Amino acid sequence: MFKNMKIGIKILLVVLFMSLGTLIIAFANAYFSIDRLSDVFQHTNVSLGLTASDDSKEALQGQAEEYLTKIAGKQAMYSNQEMREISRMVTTAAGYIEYLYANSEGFIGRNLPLPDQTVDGEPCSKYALAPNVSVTDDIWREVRLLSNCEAVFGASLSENNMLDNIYVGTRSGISYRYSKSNLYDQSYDPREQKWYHSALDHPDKTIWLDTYTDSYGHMCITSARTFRDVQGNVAGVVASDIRLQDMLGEISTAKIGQSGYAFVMDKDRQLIAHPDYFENDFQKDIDAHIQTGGQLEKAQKLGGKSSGIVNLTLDGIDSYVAFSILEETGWCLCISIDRDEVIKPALDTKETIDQITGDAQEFTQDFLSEVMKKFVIFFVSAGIMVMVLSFAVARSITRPIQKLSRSVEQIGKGEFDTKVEVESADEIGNLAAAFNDMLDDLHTYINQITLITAEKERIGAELSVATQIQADMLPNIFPAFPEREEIDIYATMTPAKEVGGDFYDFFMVDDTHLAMVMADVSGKGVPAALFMVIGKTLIKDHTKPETALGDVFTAVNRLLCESNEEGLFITAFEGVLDLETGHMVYVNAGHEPPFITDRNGIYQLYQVNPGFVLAGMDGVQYTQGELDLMPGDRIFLYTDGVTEAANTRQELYGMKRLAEVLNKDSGLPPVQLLNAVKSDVDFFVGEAEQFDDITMLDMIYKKKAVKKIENGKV
Amino acid sequence: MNIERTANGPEIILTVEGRVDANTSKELQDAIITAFQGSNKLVVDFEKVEYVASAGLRALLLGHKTAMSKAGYMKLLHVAEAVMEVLHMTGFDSILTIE
Repeated sequence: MFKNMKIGIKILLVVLFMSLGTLIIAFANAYFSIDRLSDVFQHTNVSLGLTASDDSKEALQGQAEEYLTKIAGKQAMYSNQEMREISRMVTTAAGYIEYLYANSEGFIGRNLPLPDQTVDGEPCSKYALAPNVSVTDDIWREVRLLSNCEAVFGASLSENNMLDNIYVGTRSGISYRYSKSNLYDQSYDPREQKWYHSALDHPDKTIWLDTYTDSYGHMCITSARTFRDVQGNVAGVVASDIRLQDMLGEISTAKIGQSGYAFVMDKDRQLIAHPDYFENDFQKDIDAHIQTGGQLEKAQKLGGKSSGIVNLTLDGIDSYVAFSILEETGWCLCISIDRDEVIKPALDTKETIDQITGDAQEFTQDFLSEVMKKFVIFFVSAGIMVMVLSFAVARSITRPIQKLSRSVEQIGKGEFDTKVEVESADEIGNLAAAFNDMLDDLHTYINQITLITAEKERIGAELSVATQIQADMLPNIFPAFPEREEIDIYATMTPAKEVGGDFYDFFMVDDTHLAMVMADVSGKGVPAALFMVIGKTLIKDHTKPETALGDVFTAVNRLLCESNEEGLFITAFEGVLDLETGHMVYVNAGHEPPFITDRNGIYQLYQVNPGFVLAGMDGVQYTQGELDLMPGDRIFLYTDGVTEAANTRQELYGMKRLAEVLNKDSGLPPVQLLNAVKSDVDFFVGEAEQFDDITMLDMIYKKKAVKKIENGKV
Repeated sequence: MNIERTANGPEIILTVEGRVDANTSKELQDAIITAFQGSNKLVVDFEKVEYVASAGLRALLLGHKTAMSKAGYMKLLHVAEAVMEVLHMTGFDSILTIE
């Protein structure tokens, strides 16, 4: 991935990666620190608020509990005192009535008025009789006796302003009352009243009865006691009412705080005083009001506890209930208050603290976010600066390289005059300088090469011209002698790469004599080619009808040795055929022997006397040989380029293969035969390079020429 | 081609091995000429030569001529049959001293 990236981008990436990486790490560190700080701060605030509100709640609860318990205790004590007072008074009244009954002779008494005969609101004695009771002397005497009570009752009433009345009911059906009120029910029979029966149920004991509502709508409680006549029989009941409101004081009606109220229940856990007592479907059983069952009872029973405070759900409200037992009656006075109200200040405090901590938190958050914002701005600016800087650095590094690259491209297009600007002394500068040096060297070298190449091309052109000239020197127009029916001759030379030293030649020495030459100059190149030209020319020049062939080669050898500084030599074979007779003379100067067909038309190697090569040694004498050809005979001449053609394994083509291919298809015309040999040699050589010229000549002596009679000679 | 040069008294022996073709004959020629610079007696051992091209013959001819001019000799030893054929065909066998 990075391999193909531009260097500039690589450097940019590295610098960016390092600097931005550092920035990011610093940023992340700062960010997390601030974040942590914020968290810690928040946590601290929250726990601070919680602790503070919890503490204050507890304190408030403690305070409230203490306060409530105290109120309940005090009220109970007060109420108890009141009730004891009333009960003592009732007891005293009963005692006094018994005294009256026992000493009835000593008291005259007075006639009492009926209730409607009295002034309402003025405390006074009044009497009434039950509906079915008629006034008799006894009744009247008893009424008059009872009138004596007013001295004691009146004193008691004025003494205790909580009392409204003291009343008596007798077994005989008299209803006596000392009261302020003069309301009276005609059908009223004291003996049928609850207080009467209750007292009767507990003779000689002062009892307390449940609440009831008096004629003015006040809730009252009643204390009653029986009294006996002189015979000791229960003669009636004396009772007095006390308003609950009076007994309980302010707490009976007034709210305690916002939600607090008082209530009273009797020993049987029946409510006898409650703000909602007169509601329609009021449940008198306290347990119907308590949702968290039995706590109050439990608290009451706990070690005979007479007072305390409990936490219970009362009428669906989580409440504190402080209670205290009234000793007089065994009733329980309770004060209940909504728990929420008790702890409301604590909640308020908590809210305040929460508010404050929230504000503080908000402030902190704002502050931190402000800091964060600044941080971000700082880091973004720093990032941009780093990027710009990195880019500049990367550019400063890559720009010279790009310049260098552009220069190199231009130079690549051949603009060698282009110079790379050396701008700095750093490595790139050095590179540019070195490049310029290299460019100069290259320039010089290319100039030299151009010159050398031009020279080489010139020489090459000349050599190819020389090769062409050399080839042109050989007879190359076929058929060579179209007018001659006696012979068919064909020859080829396939030069190796360079100009070579092989040559063939054939020419008519005179009308009836055909000369054939096959030669090979040792060595290659221009010297060999020149030597060949000389050799060929000399041989042709010296071959004359009157000169013996051995003398021709002897002369040619002598002439060649005169100008052979190079030490070159020529192997050559020359034959001269008399077309009229088929007689052929030949001379051999170290050349490969010819193939000549035998009687069966099969090419056979014709062993000839090997003379020494031409130009080898001065003074060598050559002698000619002779043979006779019959019509149809053929002669095949060649150079060692054929037999010594080598394949890639350095194997030589050889005489054996040559003989085989020559005899493969008998009767081929010379042109086809030479082509066949060449193909076979090429096939054998294969991929190997042709190293030597391949030169061949084939001639068919078809028939004898008709002898001409010329100047009378034969 | 390899040429090993040894001396036997005034006589220098060149032991040639391999093919003496157009490429290697120059080396043989140089070796022969160098040998004649210090001596006029040269023995060329051709036992391990399997092929001699015309250029190789030229080197031998040059050596022969040099020996003649220095009134010494150049002997060719242990010539293999194939090489001998070439020497015979070119008439070199009648010129060179072959033992």
